[in-house]
Amino acid sequence: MTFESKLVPPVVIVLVVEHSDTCRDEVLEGIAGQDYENLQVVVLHRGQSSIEQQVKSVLPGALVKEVSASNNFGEAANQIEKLTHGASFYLFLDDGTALASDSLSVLVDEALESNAGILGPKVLDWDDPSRITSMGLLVDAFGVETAFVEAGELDQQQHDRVREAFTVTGEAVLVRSDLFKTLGGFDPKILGGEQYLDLCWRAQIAGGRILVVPRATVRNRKEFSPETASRARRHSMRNRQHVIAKCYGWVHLVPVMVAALLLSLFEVAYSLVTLRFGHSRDVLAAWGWNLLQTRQVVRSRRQISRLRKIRDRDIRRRQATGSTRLRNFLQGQIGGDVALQSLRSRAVGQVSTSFSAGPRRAASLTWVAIAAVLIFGSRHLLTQGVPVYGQFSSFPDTASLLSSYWSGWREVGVGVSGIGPAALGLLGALSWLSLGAMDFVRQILILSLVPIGLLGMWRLLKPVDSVWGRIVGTSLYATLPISYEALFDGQWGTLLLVATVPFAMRRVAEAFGVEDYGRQSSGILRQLASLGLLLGVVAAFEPLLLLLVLVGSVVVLVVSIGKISIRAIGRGLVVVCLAVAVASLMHLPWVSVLGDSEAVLRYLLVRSPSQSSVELSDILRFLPTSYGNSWMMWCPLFVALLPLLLGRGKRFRLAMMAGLLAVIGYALAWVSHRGWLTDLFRTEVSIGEGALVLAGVGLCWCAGMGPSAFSNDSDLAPLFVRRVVLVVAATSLMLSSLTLLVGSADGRWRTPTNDLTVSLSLLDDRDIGPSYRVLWLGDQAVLPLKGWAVGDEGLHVGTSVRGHPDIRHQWVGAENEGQRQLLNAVEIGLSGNTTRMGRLLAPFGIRYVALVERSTPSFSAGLDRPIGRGARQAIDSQLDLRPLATDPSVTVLINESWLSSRSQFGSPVRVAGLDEPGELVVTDLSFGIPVLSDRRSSTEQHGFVDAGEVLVADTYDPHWRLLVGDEAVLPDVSFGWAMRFESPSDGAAALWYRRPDSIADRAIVQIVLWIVIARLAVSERRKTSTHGVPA
Amino acid sequence: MSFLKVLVRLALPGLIAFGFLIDDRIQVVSNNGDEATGLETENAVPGSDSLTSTWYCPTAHSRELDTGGVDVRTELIVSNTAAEPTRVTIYLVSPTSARRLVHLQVPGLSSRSLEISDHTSDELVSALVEAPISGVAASRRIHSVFGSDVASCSSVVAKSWYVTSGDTQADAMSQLVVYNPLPIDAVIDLSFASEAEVGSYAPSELVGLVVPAANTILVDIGAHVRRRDVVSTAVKARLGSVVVDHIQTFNGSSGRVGFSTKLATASTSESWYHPVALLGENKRVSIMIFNPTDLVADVEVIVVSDEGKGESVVTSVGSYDVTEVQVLPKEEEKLVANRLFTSLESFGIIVETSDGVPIVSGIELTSGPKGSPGKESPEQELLPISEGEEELRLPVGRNSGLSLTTGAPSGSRDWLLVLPDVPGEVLVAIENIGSSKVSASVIRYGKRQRYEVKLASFATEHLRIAGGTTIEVNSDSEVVVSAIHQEPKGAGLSSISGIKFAGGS
Repeated sequence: MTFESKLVPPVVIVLVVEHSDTCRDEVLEGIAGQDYENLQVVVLHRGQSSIEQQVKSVLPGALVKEVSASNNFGEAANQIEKLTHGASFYLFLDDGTALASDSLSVLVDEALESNAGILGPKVLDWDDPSRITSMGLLVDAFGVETAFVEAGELDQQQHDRVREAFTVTGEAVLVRSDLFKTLGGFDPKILGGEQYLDLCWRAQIAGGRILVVPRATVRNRKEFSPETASRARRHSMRNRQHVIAKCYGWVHLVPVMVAALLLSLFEVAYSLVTLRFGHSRDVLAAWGWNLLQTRQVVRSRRQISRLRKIRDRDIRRRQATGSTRLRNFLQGQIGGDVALQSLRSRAVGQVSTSFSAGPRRAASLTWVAIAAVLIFGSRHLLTQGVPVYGQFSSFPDTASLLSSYWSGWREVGVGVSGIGPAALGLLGALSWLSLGAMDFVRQILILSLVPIGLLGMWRLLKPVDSVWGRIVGTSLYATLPISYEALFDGQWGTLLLVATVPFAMRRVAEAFGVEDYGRQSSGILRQLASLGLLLGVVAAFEPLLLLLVLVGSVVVLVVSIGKISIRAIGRGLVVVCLAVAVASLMHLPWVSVLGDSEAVLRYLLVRSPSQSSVELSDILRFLPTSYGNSWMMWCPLFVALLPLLLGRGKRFRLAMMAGLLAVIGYALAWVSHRGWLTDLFRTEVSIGEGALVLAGVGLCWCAGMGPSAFSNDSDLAPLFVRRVVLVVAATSLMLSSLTLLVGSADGRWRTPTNDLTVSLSLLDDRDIGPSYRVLWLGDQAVLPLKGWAVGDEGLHVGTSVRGHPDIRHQWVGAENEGQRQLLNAVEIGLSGNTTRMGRLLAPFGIRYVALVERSTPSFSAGLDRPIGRGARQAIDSQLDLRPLATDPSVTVLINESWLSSRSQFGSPVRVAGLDEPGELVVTDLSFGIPVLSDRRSSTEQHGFVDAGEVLVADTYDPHWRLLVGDEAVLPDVSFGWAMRFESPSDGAAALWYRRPDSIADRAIVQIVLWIVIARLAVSERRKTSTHGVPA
Repeated sequence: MSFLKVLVRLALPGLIAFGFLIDDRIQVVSNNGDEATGLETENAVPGSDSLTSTWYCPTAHSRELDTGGVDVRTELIVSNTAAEPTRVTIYLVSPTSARRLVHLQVPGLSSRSLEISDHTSDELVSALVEAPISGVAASRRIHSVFGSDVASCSSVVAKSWYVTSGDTQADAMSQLVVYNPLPIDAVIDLSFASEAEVGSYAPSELVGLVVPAANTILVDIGAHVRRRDVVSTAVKARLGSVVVDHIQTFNGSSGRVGFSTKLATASTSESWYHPVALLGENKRVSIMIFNPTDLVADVEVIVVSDEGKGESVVTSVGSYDVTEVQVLPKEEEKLVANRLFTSLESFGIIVETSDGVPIVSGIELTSGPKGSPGKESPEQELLPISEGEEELRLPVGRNSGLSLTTGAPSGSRDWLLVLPDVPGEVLVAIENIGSSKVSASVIRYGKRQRYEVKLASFATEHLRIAGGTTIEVNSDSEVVVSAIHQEPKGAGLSSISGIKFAGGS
C-alpha cells in the first residue's frame, strides 16, 4: 500500500480485530467519517472467518489482512510495517473504539506541533460520551499505572489541555512511523494492555514524547468478564516485571527488582491470609514466567541499550514516586484487588460465604482447623527455627551452593570432581531469589511440606463426589504419624514424599483416565510435561519418588484393567514412563557422576531406616515412636475400611485401587525392613519410610471414598451394619484427630530443641587457620551428612572441611581412589587391626574424628544410634586419637598425628612409598607445616609456600593449579590418590581449581533442558487454561 | 451379596491380617552389632590382616620404695612369628620421667629379649611395645628376690579387669599395677571380694581413681583389704581403658615364699581351662572362682588327665564373691566342702558353670614351705625380715615358688608359647576342651623338631621341653596351651600362659 502525495502527512489507521468474527459498524463508520485527507486503512483480523466483506462495505479502500496465525495484538500490529510504505503515522485502533470525525486530524496536528512520538486521545464512555473512561497514564517505578482521570468521571472539559503522560491506554494511539520502526514495534511477548506501557517506555528511552490530546476524542466499549479480568491481572503482573526488567539500566534495575520482590512477597502473604490463593499464584507465576524469559530479556536489553538517549534518572523523574500499588492498597483504592479496606468486604465476605453454605462451610472449617492445629503445633519451630539434625542441614551462602553445582569440584569425602546435583543448583537459585535469606528458605522448605502434602491430598480427592470425602481423606492424612516422625527424625526426603506423592498419584490417575479422574484429563503433552517436571524437581532431592510413582502406576493399571479402554491404558503408560524418563533425563549429568549402575541403584534405593528392627504391627501404624499413642495409630486403618465394606460401583473400584496402593506400600515397607528386598535383588534396598508414604496416601485416598459410599450405596448392607461401620470409622477418625491435637501441644511435634552445632563448636574453625577435615562416623540416621558404608556394624563415614557439614554434604558422588583409601583406613581402624588409626588418617588432613551416636545433644529429644561395641573398642584403643570433652551424644577425638590438608615439610619426607597403610602406620607426619591457610572458597586458597613439595589432601585432579609467583604448577599424584605440587620458589601462592569445559557444557545443557521442560509444562498448562479446561 | 464379592471386599483387610499373623512367626535375624561382634578381651598375636602389633606391659620395671612397691627386674621377650625381621619400638612410660624409646631388632621366627633395667631405673615403669608388622608377641620374665615368674603382656586395653586371687596377710603383699596407654585419662573404680565377707567392698578412696593418660599407678590392695587369705579384685574403668597387672609376694616370714606377677584377665566366661597343675609333696593347688555378676553361680570343678575328665566337685559362688576350691591328694580325702581330691600328680582343671553365669577362674600353684600367718612353718623354714639396706637371701637349694594365674576362657587351634631361657625343662600342657579327639603338633622355632600329640576328649597331655625357645602349637580342633616351670632347687615357680593367634578359633 502506498500513499498519494498530499499536503498532510500520510497516516495509516491500523484496526486490529481480535478473535471476533464481526466488527462493530460504529467503529468502521468512525473511520469512514474522518475528515483527514491523507488516510489509508488497514484492518488486521485475528478471527477465524473473514470480515473483509463487512469492512469493504463501509470502507471500500481498506486493506483487510487475515492474521490468525498471530498470537496476540502486538504480533499482529507489527505486521503493518510489511504492509505499508511511506506512512508518517500509524493510528492503532482497538476494535471497540469509535473515532470522532476530527480525532485523527487533531492528533496529527498536535504531533506535528509538539514533535511528539506517541499520542493518545481522550477516551469517552461508549454509551455515555459525557463521561471519561481514560486519558493517559502515569506509572511508578514498578510499571504500575495510575490514571490521570477516574474512570467514569464526568467530562466538564476540566482536563482539556494537552498533557504529557508516561503511557497511553490502547484504545486509539497515534505513533510516529519512524519511531515505531526504531523501536522495533510492539513486544510480542507481552499480552494485554501493557504493550503500550512497553512501547511508550522504550519511546521515551529513545527520546520520544508521549502526549494525551483531549481535543481528540474517541468512544470505547470494553467487555469484562471474571475470567478475562483474572487473565488480565495475571498478564499485567508478569508484563510489568518483564517491562522493567527490559527497560531499566543495571543501576536502577537491581534496587527496583529487589523492592519488587519484597512487595511481591508481601502480596503473596497477604493474599494467602485473605484466602486469595489465585492471586498469590499469579504473583509467583509472574516471577517464574519472567525467569524463563531471561534470554529474551537479555536480548531486548541489548537492543534498548543501543537506542538509549534518555538516562534512567530522567525517566524516573517522569514516574510516580513510591509504589502506586502499595499506596492504593493502603488507601483502599486498588481497584477491587487486594485493598486493605476491602478485606472486610471481600476476604471476610468470602469467608462468610464459605462458612454459610453446608459442605463448603465444613470444608472451610476443616481447613481452618487443620491450619490452626498445624500452626499451633509448629509454633516453636516457626519462632525458634528448626535445629540442624539429620537431613535438616544448614544452608550455606548462595555462592557456595551455586559453586557446588557449577564449579566441578565438591568438598565431600576427599573431594570429588564433576557436576554437582541439580538440587544444589535449585537451592542456589532459591537462595539468590531470596536475597540470601537462607535460614528463611530452609524453614519454608521444611515446614511447608506438611501443608503442601495436605493440599495435595485435597486435590487428589477432588474428583470424589462428596466434599466430606475430601475432608475425611485430608484430615486423616494430617493425622498420620509419617510427617511428624520424619520431622522428629530429620528425614527431609520422607517429608518431600509426603508433600508430593498425592500430587503425583493424581497425575497418574489422570493419565490413566481412572473413573472421575478421566474427566479432568487434558492433553497428553501437558500431562507428560507436568508429571515430568514434578518428578524431576522432587527427584533432585528425593529420587525415590520415581520408584513410588511407577509402583503406584502399576497398581492403578492393575485395578483399572477391564474398566478403562486399552487406549487409556496405553496413554497412561506412555505418560508415566515418559515422565519418569524425562525426570531421569533432567538428572542425567548427576547420574553420570554417580558412576556405575550399582551406585545409581544405591542412590535410588537405599535410605537409612528410622528404626533398625520393626514388625508388621509397627508398619501398619506407620512406625510411631515420638508421635501419638501406639494404640491410637491403629485408627486410620479402620477409617479406610468403610468404603471397602460398604462401597459399590466406581466408589468401590476407587477404594479398591487406593486400598491396594496402601497394601503394596505396607508390603514394600515390610519386606524392606525385613531385608527381603535386599536378598531378592542381591543389592542393598531400604525404602521403608518412602513406601509407607505410598501406603499413607493409599489409605487416605481410600478413606476419602467413605462418606460417598455411605450416603450413596445404602443397599449393600443392612442399616445396622452400615451404622456400626460408620460409628467405628467416625470414632477412629476422631481419635486420630485427638492424637494430632495432643501431638501439637508441645509446639514442635516433639522434635529436638537443640542441635549439635553449639556442642561441637570446637570443631569449627571455618576459614581461619590450617586446612583440615572432620571425619564423621556413625549410623546414617544420626549423621549430619551423607556417608559411605564402612565395616559390618552399620556404620557410615563422611567428611567435612573445617567444621560442620551443610546441605552440600547430603549428596555424595562416586567413590574415587581417595574415598576408597579413606574408607580402607577407617575400616582398618575399626577392625582393630591397628592402634595408630590417626596416622592412617593423617594424609587425608583429618584433624577430628566425631563419633555420632545421637542426632541431637544429650539434653534434647533425638534419635539414638549407639556405635557397636566392637567399633567402639577399636576406637577407644587408638593411641593417637585423644577424646575431647564434648556432649555425650558425640565423642570427638583429636588426631594427634594429623597433617594439614595443605602442608609442606621442613625436612624431606619420603612420600613416594606412603600409599600403603602398612607404611603409613609407622610414619609420623604430624610435623608437617600448614600452608595456604587463607581460604577464599572450596576451589581457591591463598597463602605462602616455601620452595619444595606442597601436599594437598584432595583427590588428584589435573585441573588444580598452584600459582607461585608467575608460574602455574600442575599437580602430581601423592599417597596414591592425593596431589603434590613442586613449588619452584617461596612466596605468595594461590591454589585454585579450573573448571573443566565439559562441566560447563553439561551444566548448560542441563539448565536448558530444565527450562525447556518447565516452559513446556507452564505453556501447556496455560493453553489448557485458555481453552477453558479446568486445571 | 455373593460370596465372591464378600471375598473381594475382605481381601485387603484379610491381607493385612494375614501379614500380621505371620509376622509373629518370622523371627528377624538380629543385625545387632553388639551381639554379632564380641569384644576382644583375650590376648592374641595379631593376625595377617593387622598392620601393627601392639602390646601393653604394665609392669616393666619396679623399685621398692619406702612408700611401697616391690623390687623387680624385668626381661622383656619379644617374639616374631613372621618370617621377615622387624624393628620393634618400645616406649618406656613412667610417672616420674619422660617417655623413653628403645628399639629392638627381632629376626623372623625367633625371640629377642631386652633387659629393661638397662634403660631405666625409675620406680615404676610400664612398656608399650609396637611393631610395624603383624605376628609379634611380647611377654616378660620378671625376677624378684622371692622368685620369678613369666607373664605375657596384653594385646588389649579394656574397661574391666579381674584378679581372682590375692593374699593380704602379714607375710604377703598384693599390688595392682594399672597402666593407661591411651592419650586420655582413665577413671577407674576398684572393688574387692574376699573369703571372709559376702559381697563386694569398694573403698571410697579407690572409687574414681584417676590414671593419667599414658601413665601408670600402683595400688596396694593390702592397704585397703587387710589380712585376707583370698581377695579378688574387679577394676572397672568408667572412663577410658586400662591394662592391669597383679603382683603377689610372700616374704617367707611365715614360711611360704614366692613371687608372682601376672596380667589380670579382662574376660568372664562360663568355662575356664587350666591345662596344667602339679600336686605332690611341697606342691599345692587351689582353684579360685570369682563371680562378678548379680547372680549366684553353680560351678563344677573337674580334674582332667590324659584319659579325660576325672574327679569333680560342685560348689556355689555368691554374687560378687569368691570361693576357693583346694585340690588335695587322694590320701587326704575327707568329706569337706570345696575340696577336690585326686590321685594324679600332674593334671588339668576345667571350671564350668552349669547355670550360664559368667565367672572368672584362677589357679594358685605353690611350692615349698606352706606356712602362713597363724599356721607358721617350722622355725627353720622361716625367713628373717630384711631390715634397712640388708639384702634378703633365700636358702640355697630349697624349692619354693608361687604362681597365680587365670586360666583360658576359650580355646584356639593355634597357640604361641614363649618359653624363657630357664634352667631345666619346662612342662608344656595341651588340653583338649572338646568332646572329640584332637591331633596337635608342636613346632619349635629355630629347630627342626616337631611333636605330634593325640588327645582324647577333654584330656590333657604334658610334654617336657627345654627352655629358651618359642613354640607354636597347631591342632585340628580347639585346645588350650600353657606351661609351668619350677626353678630347680631354687625359688621360682612360673606359669607360662599360651597366647592365641588371632583368628585361630
